[in-house]
Amino acid sequence: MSSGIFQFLYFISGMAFFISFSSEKQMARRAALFLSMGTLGGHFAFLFYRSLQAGRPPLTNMFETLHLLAFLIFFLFFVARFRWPIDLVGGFAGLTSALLVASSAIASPEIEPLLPALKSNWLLFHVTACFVAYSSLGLAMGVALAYLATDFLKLGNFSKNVRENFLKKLDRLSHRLILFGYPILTLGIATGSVWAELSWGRYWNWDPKETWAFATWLFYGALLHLRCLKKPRPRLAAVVTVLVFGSVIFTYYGVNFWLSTLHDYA
Amino acid sequence: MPAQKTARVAYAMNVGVRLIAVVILLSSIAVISLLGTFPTEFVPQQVPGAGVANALIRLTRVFGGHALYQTPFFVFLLLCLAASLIEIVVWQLRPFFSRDKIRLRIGSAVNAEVRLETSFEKSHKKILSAGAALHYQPVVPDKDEAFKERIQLIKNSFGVWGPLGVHLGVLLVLLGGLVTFWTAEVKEVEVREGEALYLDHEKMNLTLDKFSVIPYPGKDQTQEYLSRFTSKDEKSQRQHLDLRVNHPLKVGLTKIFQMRYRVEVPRAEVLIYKDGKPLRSVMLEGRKEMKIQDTGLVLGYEKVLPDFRIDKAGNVFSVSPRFVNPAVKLSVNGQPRWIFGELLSKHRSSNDPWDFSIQKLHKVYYSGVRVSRDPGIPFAFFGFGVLVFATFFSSFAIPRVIGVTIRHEHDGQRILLEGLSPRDSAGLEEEIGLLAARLTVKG
Repeated sequence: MSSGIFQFLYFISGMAFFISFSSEKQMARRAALFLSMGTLGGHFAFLFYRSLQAGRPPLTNMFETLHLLAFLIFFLFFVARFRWPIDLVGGFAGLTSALLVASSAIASPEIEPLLPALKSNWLLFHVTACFVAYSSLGLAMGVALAYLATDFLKLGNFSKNVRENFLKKLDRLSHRLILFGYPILTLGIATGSVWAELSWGRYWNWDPKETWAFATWLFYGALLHLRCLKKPRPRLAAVVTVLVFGSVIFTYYGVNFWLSTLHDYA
Repeated sequence: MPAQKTARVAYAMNVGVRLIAVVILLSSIAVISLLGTFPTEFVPQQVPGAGVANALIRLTRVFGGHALYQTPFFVFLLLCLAASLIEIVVWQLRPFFSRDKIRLRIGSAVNAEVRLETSFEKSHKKILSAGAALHYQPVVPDKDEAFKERIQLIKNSFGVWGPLGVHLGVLLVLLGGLVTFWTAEVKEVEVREGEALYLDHEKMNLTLDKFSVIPYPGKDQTQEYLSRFTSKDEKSQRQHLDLRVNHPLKVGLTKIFQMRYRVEVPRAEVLIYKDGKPLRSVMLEGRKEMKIQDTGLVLGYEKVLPDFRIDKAGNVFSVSPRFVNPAVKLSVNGQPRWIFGELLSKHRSSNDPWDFSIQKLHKVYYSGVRVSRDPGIPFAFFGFGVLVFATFFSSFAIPRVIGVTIRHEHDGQRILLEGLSPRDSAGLEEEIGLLAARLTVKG
């Protein structure tokens, strides 16, 4: 029931930002902002209440992490909006969050007691870091999609100069979001390694989840190196940003479904 | 000058080639490492997408399957990465030993031009104050008249340590991995209750007194796995030690981790019923048939389920490893038959006068522990520490240099702004725009 409400609210918020972007009217912008504030506030209250019920942060199963990820992606957009007020990104963020909340329907919403392997202080650091990183990289992917849509589909009623400036803004935001997510992903991997050493006796097990996280880290490392080239290639960077996010999705979602992993409980 | 320009172009090309090589190396290692995560068993052809899956599985097998990470090829790839990192670290360290410590090597130049209708001195002051407002520090000393018309504004100069730290951190993690690969001693052992585990390096015996699966109060879910050991060292000093998941035991340099457990039921006490009335209790031993006197029965058991359920078809299956609701697969005169704690009518034959129930199961727990002695851990963890710190540093403190040239003209000064940022040219462009805007503001 609650998933349905939040799915609807995120969807409506996303749509409101799309309308705000295309109409460029102050009223539409205000409506989108109020709607998204309400959505975020409600979702935060839901996550907080669930934490109180469970006696732990909502980080231990697919249902909780999907909701957390949806919240973080939209929240991050909301924070980034203060510096980069690009409503088109809000549209993508809203739709992504709605999709994530919708997909939580496949997971059990039951609050189960913690497995012995999850009873560690490292849970909070490792999982939170990973999901903040995923949300940042996810939003960067959304911004890159907005870039490509604006560039190829000529989205928005812009003159050439305005379009170029807008594309520059999108490119910069996408880069900043990756620069924000990358160290946090590193922190997530490092804390996971410390926890793995405590729990499984090896700091690196080449478990599919670890390996996919490692590959994701390398892919984003490659993307950041690509960004250092003398001649900036924002279009290529946007395409790569969208492609490498596939690795994040598989690390989070795919590994648990298709591969045998020590992270089965996640 | 042309020679200098040629040198700069060659340098930029060199940097570009290096970057492309790094991108290819990182992507290759990422893709190849993923091959070790896929299943190695072929998918039946009738399954949708079997063609693609089997092609991937074939490729996975070529690269060694799950054993990929121990293959010389993969180790070679990691060594290539290490070699590349060493080269980059040395290359990045060079400016720290040169006089020009904040020299930025790579990045794209961004230019802007501003006209100021003021005197040279006023323009100079304005540039410094506009730079200061954007947190830029002037590098060229004011007193040096020869350089006064060229000012270098620098921000986050300490940020050059970031990439160096990232590369050094990865290198240290790889070094830790190498030390682990070569020197770590890791073994997994099962210790039976009452048996001892001998730690060679520490000259110590650990006897497993008791293994317990502790449930959450009032629930079926497991709260804790607990192995209670008594240690005895060379001086026969004894100590009680508890081993839990996530709380390894540290004995000298050896660590012991709680991994899994197994239960064996060597004996089962079974109550025999005849025509629904209890007749006799017998003690059966696992996988041994026993002839029961005066009954004509030959009994044995082959399987024990700790927590059974029965589906609609009458099949018995287990739902958890905890001994909550056990079932035993009995062999009665060679015929298999499930028996339970209580008599269950569904599993009784109406013509058969004999019936059975479990009276007691004698369980022996085996605690599965991992014994590890890994000298690579300090290197790897130190590397992770450096890496985490440096990636934050590298991402949030991006060094920027803006070169400002003041050209005196008859109606004022022409200010040329040229910027260089190794990792964020778009951000620098924005800041040059801000600087130019500040310079053009009157006052």
